[in-house]
Amino acid sequence: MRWLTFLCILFCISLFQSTQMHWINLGPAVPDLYFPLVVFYSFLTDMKRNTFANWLTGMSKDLFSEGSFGINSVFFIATGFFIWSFREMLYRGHLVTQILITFIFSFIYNVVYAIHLAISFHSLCLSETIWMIFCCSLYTAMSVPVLFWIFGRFQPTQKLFFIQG
Amino acid sequence: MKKTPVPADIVGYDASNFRKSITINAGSKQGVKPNDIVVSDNALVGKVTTVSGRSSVVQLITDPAARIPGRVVQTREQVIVEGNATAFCKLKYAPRWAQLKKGDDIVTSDIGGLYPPSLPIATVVENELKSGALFQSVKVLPRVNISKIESVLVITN
Repeated sequence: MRWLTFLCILFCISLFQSTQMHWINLGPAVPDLYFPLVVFYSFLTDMKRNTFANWLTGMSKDLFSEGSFGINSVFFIATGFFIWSFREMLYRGHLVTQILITFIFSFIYNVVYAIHLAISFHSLCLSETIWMIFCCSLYTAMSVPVLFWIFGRFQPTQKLFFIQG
Repeated sequence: MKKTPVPADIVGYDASNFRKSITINAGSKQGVKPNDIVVSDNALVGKVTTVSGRSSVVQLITDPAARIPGRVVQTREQVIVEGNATAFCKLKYAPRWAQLKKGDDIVTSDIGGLYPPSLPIATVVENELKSGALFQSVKVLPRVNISKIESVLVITN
């Protein structure tokens, strides 16, 4: 894993997420570019690197977002750990696997985040929130083919196919 | 108390889907301070939460943490406008006897001293009265379409 490449990718994602994503929204939903990065590095790297990469990704999202600082770091580390722990059971190189895992875990992450917000502010509407979570997760999963291709160009993705552990 | 408007462009949006804030290119060097209010098209956009030298973060009225004291223009009922992370907001504490209808205007109230009175916030789009509930469930649409604006005015004290 090349850390300089990772940091450059993270920087570009942060810039795109906070300035450009707004222009391709579907209602209140915009794709979360950070999440495919979490899934990609959870598929690719060992536990220590995965945790550190997800912590940096979460901190980056926290920096560009309102709310409790560090909350995304905790959620991304937890998500990355779960994906990492059963990645050997998956055929990680297949696009459908990547899209499905991104969708499922993005959905779970958004639900947990929404619960945290609901507890904090008591102001979320259940039906609208669930619809928004579904749209966001679907939109994020749809961005996977492009993002994984870009990440794969900069990182050694052969590990996704051949190396165990 | 003299209020001076500072024009600013929107340079960033919140990275999270559930939080609604914008970053503007005016900060403490332009006289912006926390809790200054932000308007566009003669309607409320939000309030400044974080200020740095040349930029500030504005919490939008649609943010789940936003609570704005308001008043219904037609009935003069006192309400709280609350964001819920969608394009709409909710009215909290709208009494069940209030005669609200679609198209009613909600403006700011000066209760609390943070917002100036009578600044347009939103328009009622839907209200529902559940049996046994103390308050109406009212959905309102902000007057400013945040996704369509590129610049704002910060009203500094």
